[in-house]
This record gives sequence, structure tokens and C-alpha cells, in this order.
Amino acid sequence: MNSNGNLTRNASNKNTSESDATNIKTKLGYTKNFKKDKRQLRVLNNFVYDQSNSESGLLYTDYFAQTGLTQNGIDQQKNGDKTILSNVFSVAYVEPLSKKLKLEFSYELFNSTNNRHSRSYNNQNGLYDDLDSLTSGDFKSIKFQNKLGVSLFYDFKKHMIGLGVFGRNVTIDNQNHFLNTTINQNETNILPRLTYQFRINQNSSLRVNSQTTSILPGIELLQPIQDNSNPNSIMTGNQNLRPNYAINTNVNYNTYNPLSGGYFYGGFYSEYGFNQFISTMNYDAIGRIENSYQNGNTLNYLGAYGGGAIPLIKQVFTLDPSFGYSYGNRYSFVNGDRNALTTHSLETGLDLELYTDVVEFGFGGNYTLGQNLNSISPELNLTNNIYGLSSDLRIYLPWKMEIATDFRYNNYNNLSEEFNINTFIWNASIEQNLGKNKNWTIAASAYDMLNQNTKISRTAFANRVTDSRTAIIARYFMFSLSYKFNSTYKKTANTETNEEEQ
Amino acid sequence: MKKNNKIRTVLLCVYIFCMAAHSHGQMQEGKIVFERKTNLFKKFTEKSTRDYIKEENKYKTDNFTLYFNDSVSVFIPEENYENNRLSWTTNSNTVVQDFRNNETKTIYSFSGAPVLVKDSLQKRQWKLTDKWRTICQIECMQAVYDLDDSTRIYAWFTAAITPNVGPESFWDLPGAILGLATEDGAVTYFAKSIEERKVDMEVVMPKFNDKKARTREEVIERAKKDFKFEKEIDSYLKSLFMW
Repeated sequence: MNSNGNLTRNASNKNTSESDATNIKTKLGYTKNFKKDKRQLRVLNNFVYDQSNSESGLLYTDYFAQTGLTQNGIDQQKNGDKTILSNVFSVAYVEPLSKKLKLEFSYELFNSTNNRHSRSYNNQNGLYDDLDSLTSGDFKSIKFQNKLGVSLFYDFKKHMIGLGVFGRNVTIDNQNHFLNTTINQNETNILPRLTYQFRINQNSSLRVNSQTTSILPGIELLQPIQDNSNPNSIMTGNQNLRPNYAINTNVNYNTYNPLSGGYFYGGFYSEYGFNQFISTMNYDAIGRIENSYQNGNTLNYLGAYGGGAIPLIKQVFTLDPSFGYSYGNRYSFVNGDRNALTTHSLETGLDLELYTDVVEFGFGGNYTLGQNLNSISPELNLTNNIYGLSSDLRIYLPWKMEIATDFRYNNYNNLSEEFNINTFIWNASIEQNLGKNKNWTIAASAYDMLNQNTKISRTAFANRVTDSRTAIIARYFMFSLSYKFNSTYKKTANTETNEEEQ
Repeated sequence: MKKNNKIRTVLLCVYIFCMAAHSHGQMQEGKIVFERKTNLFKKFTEKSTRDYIKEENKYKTDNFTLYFNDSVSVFIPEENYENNRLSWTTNSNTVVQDFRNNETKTIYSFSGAPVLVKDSLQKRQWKLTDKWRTICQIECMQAVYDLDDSTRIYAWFTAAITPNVGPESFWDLPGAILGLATEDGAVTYFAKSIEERKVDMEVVMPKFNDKKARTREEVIERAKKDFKFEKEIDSYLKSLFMW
């Protein structure tokens, strides 16, 4: 549409696809505790094999209203396969130097091989035999990462401090077999870590954690071929994209009063990223986008949360408030201009909770406010909110039987018209516990009895805001038999008396 | 039975007389360090709790210091930072006993939360036996206290330390109690060191808010009311207030 609301271009895009995939994951671990107190060795190996094949078809045309012409037609058949082999081997050794001091050495070896073959064939006289070199490719990425670290932990009275540093070297070979080119990357980073815990007393503690994480770019971001499955938004990889790393910090405080049953928890968190994968978009004359990624530094997010229980009747009836605030920040480049995309999210809740030996009951409400701000496109500055009510009830009956029911009501507002809906999810179950320690449980459960389960979400991108509704499993019934290996149920004198009377 | 009781009484009198005859060597004031060992596997019988505690941590050791003179005793726990993961498994109480005013002030540790109790000194019916034990190189006589049908506590005392003090709220034997143990051995207190010295009670006395204190009965009654839906509350209160 142009600024007067008149149609200028109508793009028609039809995609069909079929795919199959295989995924194998294995995990092996070994822990050895030595005779010397706190001396320990831990070895872990994770192996992943992922393989997928796909066949798809693309039929695309542009209709230009002004000229009445249909152009930019694409009629392609594509096939592709992707294979990922990755293995992470890690070993950690802890040596106590004294009662208060211990040293931890760790080593991690990560290696992976990603292969991706893509072939796109244009329709030529009814036969799909014309290879499209722009959207075809043979790409292989081989990564080796060595990470060696040492950490010192000092445990003194009520305080525990841990300081660690990791040296990481990663080498990446990005091989383009189509063009017979290879781009090598070699990166070395120092990744520090800090842990602090203050055990204020038996029921209160303060924890601070700061650590560095790093992600290697996936093959889809690296391989320098176009993905034109949506010709209005073509994605091209960047072989020179470097691994990112981020400093993640979080602080948490909690306290509990065993006499009243009251408690409070709160904290905040943040992450700053270096070499993050920043999206760059360039629009052509008719509004189609070319996407790619480059590295950049940014504050990714920060937030705070808190909550607790205020006893109205000790150990029985509590008022539980909660809140959470998060700030998200991303930036991208649109036609060379920096575009800041920020999100604010505020969640508040208030619940009433009742605990007795026969009944547990909870009822509460919550409110969520979400705001998206776009520096280049102010028409994408949008705010939406959700009102919610929820309740749950569990009744403990004689003969170790329990019945339970719960509901969750959500009212969505200020989304796109057809997404402003109400949902009422209602579940119920009846359980029979068996065995001396209630180890066995037979249960019949009904989920979403009113058949309203759906997932509504809003996602903000650099150039659009998308509201989506996802169909998820709704209204089903289940019969289950479960066994608890570690039951904490303990018979009391009263229970034994009741059973004798029966 | 009556004959045995008579023999025990005679022995006790002889013992005390001998101690009195050498009164210039008896301790009137000082400091005793107690070591308490708790068998956590006897205290917690659920498998899941034992798996969490682990076999190597089965015995938990806590240390306490008892300052005493002929009228007051102060029993204070030492901070134990050795295994913070298991700090919840035992309670560490602070006890002040004023023998002249028949008063005791206790700061109980109720799952880590302080509970202030102010009451009269606990009177216990002790039965003396003819058994002896050496603790800190001192010969101690054994006495037995039956808390109820299923709980019996053994104490070892010495008249060489004249104030009738002891760990926790235990007292009222003809001398200082240097050892305490439950019948099943789950909890034991034994003196590790004894030091005769002047004690400045004002320095060691813990802070205690009289206004927030209640009697033992009031606290138990209140706890039973607040925790009426907790199945384990009776046994927990018993294990807390038996000391």
C-alpha cells in the first residue's frame, strides 16, 4: 500500500515442504569422590547427532497495480540436507587446600561439524533442471573450542566467594565447496566468573553470580547463500560472523520465617553482550528485504523481580504478592540507519493461599503490560495487556485419595483485532495413592475440559510486530500410573489408628 | 530395690562428704566447653532425608560453651560453619539459668528462627545409679531422668565442680553435669575442656528481650495452634523442648 492506502504491489507466495529428521543425543557422566573431604573429579561427555532432509516448492509472483503487470515470478523446487555432529567433553577437578579454601580446575573440549547442502532448481520448460546458484550451496563449518579454567572458592563463616577465569580458544573453518573458498576464524577470549553467597542465617541468604557465556554462530547465519523461501525477505549468511560472548549477572535474596510461614524473595539480573549477532536489512525499491547479520555490542536485557507470602493466619492463610519487570534491548540496521528496538514488560500478581491438612486452595489475579518501542518506525510503538484470574483446589480424602481442580482465565487486550480474546482453561483430576509410603499413584485427569487452550503471543521485529496464535494440544484425558522412588510420606500414629479402625 | 536405693544414697553422701572435705580444691567458677554429637540417621529416619544427608555426614558435631559461677550459668552455642548444607538438622539454643531467682531465659532455635522463653528453672526427677564414667579426667557419677515412657536421658555429674550446672537447661544434680546422652545414643553432650577462671557474666550474657518472651507452656500451646496441620509438630516440639 502507498501512503494514501492504495494498492501498489500484491505479492503471492506459495510454499510447500516435506522434511524428515533424526536426532540422537547421548550423555555420559562420572563423578569420583575421594577419601579426602571435598576432593572430587567430574567427567562429562555430551554427543549430539542431528540430520534432516527436506524437499520444498516455491511459487511466487508480484502483481503491480499501477501497471497491471505480473513480474518477478519464481517457480522452484528445492532439496536440502543438513547434518550436525557435535561433541562436548568436560572434566573438572576440585582440590581442597584447607577447610576454607578449595581450587577447581576445569577443561572443556567442544568440536562440531556442520554440513549443509542446498539445491534450488528453476522450472525450465516444465522441467526443474536449471540450477539457481544464488540459492544453492555446499557449506561445511568445522569448529574446535578449547576452554581451560581455574576457580578459587573461599568459604569463611557466613561468606562464600568464588573467583574464576577461563581461557577459551575457538577455531572455525567455514568451507564453501560451491565456490571453493574457505574462511578461517581464530578467536581467543578470557571469560571471568564471580560467585558470592552470604548466608545471613539459616533462613536467609544473598547470592550474586556473574559469568560469561559465548555462542558460536549457526550455519544458517554463516553460509553465504540466499534463503529465498520468502522472496520478500531474503536471508544471506555472513562467513565473517564471529562468536559472541555475554556477561550475565544476577543477584538474588530470599528470607523465610518458619514461625509465621512468611517469606520474601527478590532480585535483579542483566546481560551485556559483545559481538552479538545484529540484523541488517536493506529494502529495495519495491519493499523487499535483504537480511544479513553482523557483530555488535549491546546491553541485551535487565530486569527485577520479587514476591513473597504475608501470613494472614500463621501457617494457614497467606497473601502472596509478586512482581516482575524486564527491559529488553536490541538494535539493527535498516538501510544503514541504526534502529533501536526496546521492550518493557511488567507483570504483577496477587494470590490468596490456604493450607490445611484436608484442603489446599488458592485464588489470585495477575496483570501483564507489554510495550514495544521502535526508534525508526513510531507506528510500531505498541502496548498490549493481559488480565488474568486463576484458582486451584486440592482436597485430601480418606483412604489416601485426592481430588484436584484448577482453572486459568486470560483476557487479551490491545492486540490485533482477532487476537483480543478470552480463554478459560479448566483442568481436573482424581488420584488414588497406594502403598506404605504412597509410592504408587493411579490418576485419571482431564485437561482443558472447555477446549479453549491456545497460545497468543506478540513478537516485535525491527520492521514489524507480529501477533500469533498457535494451536496447541487442547482437551484431552489421561489415565496414569506412577511410582515415586523417593517418597517423603511418613505414617503418623493417627494414620495408623485410622487404618486399624478400618 | 529399697536396699539398692539406700546403698546409692550412702555412696552419694560419702562422695559428697569427701568432695566437701577437699572443698578448697573444688571449682566454683569457670568455663566448660561441650561437644554435642548428633546421629542424624537416628534423628531422621526417612530414606530421602538420609540420602540427602549422606553416610559421611551421619554424625554432626556442634560445640557449646558453658560459663558458670555459683549463682548463674550461661550456655552459648559456637557458630558452626563446617557444613552449612546441614545447618537445619540440629538446633542450637542459648540458655541462661539464674539459680538465686529460680529463673531461666532461653533462646530456642525454631528451625532457625529465635523463640524467646522465660520461665522458672525446670525441675527434673533424677535417679542416681552406681555407675561411673571418666570425663575430662574427672570421675563422674551417673543419674537417669525419664522424660516419658519412651525417652530416658543419662547424665554424668561431678561434685568437684560445686555449682549444679549443666548443658542446656539441665541442672539440679549435686555437681556440674559433664555428660548427657539420650538412651538410644542419638544425641550426646560431653565436656571437652574445663577451665577454672573468673567469669564476667555481663560480658558473656546474651541480649534478651524480656518483652517478647513467653513461658514454655505458652510457646508450646501457640506452636500447636499455629502448626495444627503439621503432622510432625508434636514430635518436633518434644525434641526441641526436652533440652
